[in-house]
Amino acid sequence: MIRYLADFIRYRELIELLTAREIKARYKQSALGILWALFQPAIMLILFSAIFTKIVRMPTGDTPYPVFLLSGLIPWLFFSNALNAAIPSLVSNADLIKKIYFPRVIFPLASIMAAAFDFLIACSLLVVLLIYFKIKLTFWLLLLPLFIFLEFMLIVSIALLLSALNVFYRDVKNALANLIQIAMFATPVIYPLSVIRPNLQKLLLLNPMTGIVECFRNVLVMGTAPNWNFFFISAILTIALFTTAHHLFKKLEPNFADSI
Amino acid sequence: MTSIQFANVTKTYHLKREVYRSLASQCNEAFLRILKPHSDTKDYIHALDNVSFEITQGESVGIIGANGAGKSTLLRLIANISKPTSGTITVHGQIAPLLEVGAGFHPELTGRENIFLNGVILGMSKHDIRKCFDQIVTFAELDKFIDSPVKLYSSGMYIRLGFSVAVHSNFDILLADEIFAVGDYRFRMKCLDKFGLLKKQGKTIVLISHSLEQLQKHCQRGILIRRGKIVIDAEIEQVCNQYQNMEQM
Ligand SMILES: Nc1ncnc2c1ncn2[C@@H]1O[C@H](COP(=O)(O)OP(=O)(O)O)[C@@H](O)[C@H]1O
Ligand SMILES: [Mg+2]
Repeated sequence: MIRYLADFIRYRELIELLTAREIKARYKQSALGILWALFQPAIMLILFSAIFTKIVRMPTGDTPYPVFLLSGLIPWLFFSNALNAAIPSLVSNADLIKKIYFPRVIFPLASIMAAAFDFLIACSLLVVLLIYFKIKLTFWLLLLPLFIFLEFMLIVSIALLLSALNVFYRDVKNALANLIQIAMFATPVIYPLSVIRPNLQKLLLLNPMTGIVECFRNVLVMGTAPNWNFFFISAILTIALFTTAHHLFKKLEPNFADSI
Repeated sequence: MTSIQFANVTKTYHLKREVYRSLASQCNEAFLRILKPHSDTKDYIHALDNVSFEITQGESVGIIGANGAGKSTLLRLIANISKPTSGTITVHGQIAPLLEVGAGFHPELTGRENIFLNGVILGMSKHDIRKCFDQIVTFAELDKFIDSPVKLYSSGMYIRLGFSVAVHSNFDILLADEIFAVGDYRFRMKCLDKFGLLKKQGKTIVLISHSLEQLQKHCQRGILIRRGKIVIDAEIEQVCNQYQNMEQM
């Protein structure tokens, strides 16, 4: 991990350039530009809010459903957008990989950073909603960066693992794009964990995003302490994933240029 | 001082490997292997076969050989882009690679953006690049095109830009794979001047070219490769003569 941080600092300018390139490429020649980063969460917010307030009622306690939803949707969209961009990142940069050497980690990292940029923009939507529904903020909010960091590390772990495998098996990208869509329903994004049967809840906690989304929601809209048990389950899963991913990536990295 | 050292380096590739491997095709392969064991044991080639040599700092070396001899593979190994199957490679110094038409540009980005991207990859800081940006553009003679995406460049313009960024970076070893094949006469003359200057600065240069005339102008030493093996490693004239004799046989 320290080695990654060192690489990160040494290649900071390169990561910056690649990140900027990815953001620019996405919004070049589009009239709405950066507003597209708000479009995706806004559409999902309107759609799910309509369903779960007008058609079926979702028991979210004192929290208005739209705020409840968005506080889970925003970390979730960061997760899914970052992975969808990072997993094909090595293959789509084949030109560079075949012609020049530098740590290949930089490609998935730059994709994740570009998604983090969208995440920050989408957060402004959440701020608007928090003000509109007059949600009281508490000091627990100060813990939010910790959860963002945990989510970032989780994304990095999965991205390292799967972007490397995607060089050798192109199926990974397609399989994952579908899997992520389904995984949203295995994470308490649109529903509260409390509506799930207790034994099924335990199963959901094996999904590291469950703990992260719950913690986000705890400190952001409930204004309560995070559920530390959930936090540690997610943290331990993330560390295990990171260790595996790191070793696999290092092992496969020398073969990227020959096989890509 | 040693710049590049190869000790018993072998690089093997699997021949049958498809570029896009899908899970289905791999299962199929595995299935065939069970049905017909040993059928594909000959499906690998030695792109380089037990190669040893040493290049000292400041030398300029030309690599000669027929298509598929293993020249590009040799340069990729020096550049650390691919790893040897066995043997050891030692390289001292920063490398500027110009491999197989292109220096690793991003087609959608403009020339300007690519100069920064490429420069940073070559170990320059943005500050360094800004300082010699005009020099890079002038040397590449691309003033008019610097803000168009490089996918619109001709291969000659592409290599000019790659070469220009590379020689302005703070490198010790320049690797160039057939850059004269796409450059025009003017560019070749410019390279000649620049190489002379680089040699005076003590830079190591390794060139691949099919133009023996170019190699004789630029290099003192030549290495002739045939089917992954070094045939002769000597003065450039001698190596060129042997290559011509070999090909005429
Ligand atoms: N990534 C690769 N996968 C499989 N075979 C390769 C790969 N790269 C090169 N080869 C094979 O290695 C041999 C040497 O190639 P190369 O070094 O490119 O030759 P050249 O001397 O023409 O530059 C060729 O037979 C080529 O088909
Ligand atoms: Mg070649």
